[in-house]
Amino acid sequence: MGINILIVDDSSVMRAMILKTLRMSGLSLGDVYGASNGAEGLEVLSRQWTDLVILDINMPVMNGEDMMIRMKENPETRDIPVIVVSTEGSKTRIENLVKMGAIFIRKPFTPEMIRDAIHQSLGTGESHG
Amino acid sequence: MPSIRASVQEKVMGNSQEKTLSKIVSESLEKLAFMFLLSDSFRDPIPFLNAVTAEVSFTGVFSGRLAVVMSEPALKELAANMLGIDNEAVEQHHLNDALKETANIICGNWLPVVGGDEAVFHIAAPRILSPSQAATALTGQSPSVLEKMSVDEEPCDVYFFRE
Repeated sequence: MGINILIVDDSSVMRAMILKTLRMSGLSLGDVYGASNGAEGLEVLSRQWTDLVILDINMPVMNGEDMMIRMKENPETRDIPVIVVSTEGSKTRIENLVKMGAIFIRKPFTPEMIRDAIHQSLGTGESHG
Repeated sequence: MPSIRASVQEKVMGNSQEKTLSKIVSESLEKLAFMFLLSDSFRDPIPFLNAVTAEVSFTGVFSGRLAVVMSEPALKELAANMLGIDNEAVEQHHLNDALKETANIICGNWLPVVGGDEAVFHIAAPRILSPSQAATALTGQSPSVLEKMSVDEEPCDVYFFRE
């Protein structure tokens, strides 16, 4: 059975690029959902079984940090692994996200970086870090 | 694999800012779209009428903006490669979105290099400038850094303004 993944990014090109990267990564994919901000992402999580969230930080309506806080407050979603994929440069902000349990990947990324982060977050396979 | 920022940060002190920005731009486009840009500093800047321009502004320990100006053929290849589709299938909104995201990524990797790891910046949503807006925005004052590059003889200019 494949991995169900939610991609939350306000850029449609970046969502498509992440999907392309996932397909190139060799992972067994299930359903892949998209959302353009944190509020839409929470809505998807409320109705679709999701194994993993790939999350941007800077988005309109609800940013990635706020979405992650809301996920952690909800028993239904608090254990879903989160990979933050962003251009964020602030060490403090990155550390806060990592403290909440996220794995951080800086844009741009390679398929290998995504694959390794997914294996690390799901506790599967072998990381080639 | 080291991040772009890590790989350039160790060299920033010994390199000119143009070379540092050039490295960030070329590594970003290589990872985003498997495109290989080279420095092309002896030519004139791209005329804005013949290109698409995306600008991203930021505030923080200092304010400023970064703009990427790219010829349409180069941008078409960028968008197609980012999306994994044929050049013929690329639509106008793909071009705009691809260039905005590229400007955002270059700016996000450049600011920690010039501002330091601890610096906090707020990067605004990138926007597309019309040729006349680009001419006003990018030639009204001298850029802090202007890096002229090319890919397969198609030009790409990156302007950075520190205010």
